[in-house]
Amino acid sequence: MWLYCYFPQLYLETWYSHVPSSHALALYSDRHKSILDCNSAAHTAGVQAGMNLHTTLCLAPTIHLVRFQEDLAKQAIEQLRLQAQAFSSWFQVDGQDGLYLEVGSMQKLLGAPQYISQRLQAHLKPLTCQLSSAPYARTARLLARSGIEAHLNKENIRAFLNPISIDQLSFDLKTQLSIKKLGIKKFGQLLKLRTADIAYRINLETAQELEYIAGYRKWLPKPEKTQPFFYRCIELDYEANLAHQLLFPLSKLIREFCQFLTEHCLISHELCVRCIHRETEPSYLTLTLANPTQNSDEWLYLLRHALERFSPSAATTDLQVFSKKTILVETKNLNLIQPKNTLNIEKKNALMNRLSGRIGPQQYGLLSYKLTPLPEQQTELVNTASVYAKCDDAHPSTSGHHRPIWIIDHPKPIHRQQYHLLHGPERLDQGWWQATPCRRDYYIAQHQQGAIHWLYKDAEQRWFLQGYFS
Amino acid sequence: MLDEIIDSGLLWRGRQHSTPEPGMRTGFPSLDKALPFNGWPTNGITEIHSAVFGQGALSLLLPAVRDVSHNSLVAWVAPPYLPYSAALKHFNIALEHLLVIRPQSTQNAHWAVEECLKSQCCGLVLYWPEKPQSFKVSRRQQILCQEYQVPLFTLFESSNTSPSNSTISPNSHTPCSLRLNIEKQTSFRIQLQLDKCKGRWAGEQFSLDLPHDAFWRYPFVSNITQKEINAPTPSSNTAIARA
Repeated sequence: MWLYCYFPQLYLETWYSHVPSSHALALYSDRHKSILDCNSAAHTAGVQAGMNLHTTLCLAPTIHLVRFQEDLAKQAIEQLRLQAQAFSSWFQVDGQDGLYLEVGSMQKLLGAPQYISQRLQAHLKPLTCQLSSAPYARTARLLARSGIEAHLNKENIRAFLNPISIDQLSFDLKTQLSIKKLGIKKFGQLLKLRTADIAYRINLETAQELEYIAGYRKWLPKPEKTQPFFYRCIELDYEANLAHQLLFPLSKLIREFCQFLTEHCLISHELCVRCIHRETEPSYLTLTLANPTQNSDEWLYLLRHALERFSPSAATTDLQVFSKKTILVETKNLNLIQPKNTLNIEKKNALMNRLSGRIGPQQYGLLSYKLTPLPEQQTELVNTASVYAKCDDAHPSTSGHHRPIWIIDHPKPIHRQQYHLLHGPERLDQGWWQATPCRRDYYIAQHQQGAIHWLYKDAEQRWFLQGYFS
Repeated sequence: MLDEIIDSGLLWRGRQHSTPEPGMRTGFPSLDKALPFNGWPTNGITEIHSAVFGQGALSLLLPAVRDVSHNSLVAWVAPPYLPYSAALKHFNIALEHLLVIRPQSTQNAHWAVEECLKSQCCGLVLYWPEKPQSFKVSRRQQILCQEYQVPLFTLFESSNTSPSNSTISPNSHTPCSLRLNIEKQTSFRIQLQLDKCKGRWAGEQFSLDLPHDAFWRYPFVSNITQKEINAPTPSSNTAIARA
């Protein structure tokens, strides 16, 4: 018995869960310059998957666009896989948004597939997921991906599948058209056809897929190994009232953690410390590096600075250290002479980790361009090299011909008399089709003292300073 | 006692005079010729002083930043504002290699500069100190620059239009390799004074021609009339751009 879990918005819900649901958010492909996925607010504004980027910006100018990165997609599904281990010992990741779980052997322990399904849904609560179970893995997959929630067994599977309309099923468009050309409307009609006929009239892949779905041929997902999970707990010999008293036991635990990572060929960028107090609720300290590593020096450096900023709510009696976010180390070139680029990346990661430890992740970052019409929102700092998003050349407002080097986050009101206008106006007119349009006339002007500034005049004839040339 | 002075690097000896190491291309041929390193010094501090914020101090460095950014990181420590990515992209600077650090204290800023110099992944470090640095701090930075062969550019820009509203007077006793003072800036030209330069006499003045694609430096004043500026913004959605 197989349970299939489909997560249609896994990427956005994993990495951008902090964005409020009222704010339009969309995931786009850098290669095709088109939308891959969007949240409900963006959908309400008219944005759809497959839509061109320019069209999207016209429909929702304030939309937050996120570039799709394959590494992050893999990490998202990897995190889910770790959580799914609690529900089955045999599971397999399917693409970047699906998961097969063998639940037949778990029925004695966890109950019927529908109960497992409910528990899993509750466990993954903020994520949108569609679950279906069936005796054959591919059947469960087809149903879940088609948005049909069903829990079938060998007795009722044919009776359930036969009346389903072809339109309801998640076949690709080309296959769906080929099926319709044959005059087939229900899935049962398709299953009645001979495999050779389907292979000839539609395609070979569909024929094979139907054999798996109907159970004529056996297909089983490949079982995957479970990811190791780091957890250590120690009881302190003393009651630690101050944060720096935790340094010695935590240093020991961090060395163990790094040894664990090395042994399992893993790297991590996050470690949680739970400080248990005698009477009050536990205090939490999260150590977050900019880039994942197994280097104990970087972890210890971070710990020392994190403890300077940490103040436990009461005296600590026990310490628990755990890490759920571990990633497999990529295969490295084993040559003694490493390419220069690899060495540079390692040094760059080490620098960012040290910065993260001492001055905090909010105070540094790599410069990045954000797709948004307002100049003050176009620049942002990204402090993790792995989530760095490259500047998009295709965006219409990226022209830097008359743009200043320095941009002011919050434009300052100014007196027009102090300036001598050199060039302009250049109009920025965004959202004119909406209730609150943003209309600005930009000028390049020389200040009384000689410096050249970038100003704008808004629709109410007020003047603001937006940037400095240098 | 003499040995101590020699070891601490406080004594200059004529016999130890050596030819300066080749520098980093400035992007301005006349400046390359004027400097003994044939460019910016690669193993020391370059101080750039400007009486007014936004008088062209960064324009002098952008060609070097562009060249370095394609191979290694360029650290911007304590910049007065956020660099505008669209403008930098126009200069063909690799944004993914620009590391902007905005520490909240001077102590952390000094620490960040030293970390960047020591990291061996930064090809160039730009630093905007809030106030003149002490001799000790500058000396530490100069030694690190020499040890790791990374150029450090310290920019002192002062005016009441600068964010800190503080006046930074040039400190003439810092152990830098090069100190430039931007005296005057016109539409096409920046006038510089060489206040200190290892391997050359100080006090020389020279002017640099700015690249003509610096659009905003052309005198457009006569094209815009007061009437046009005061006119209410038209309701049409077409963009107006005057050239």
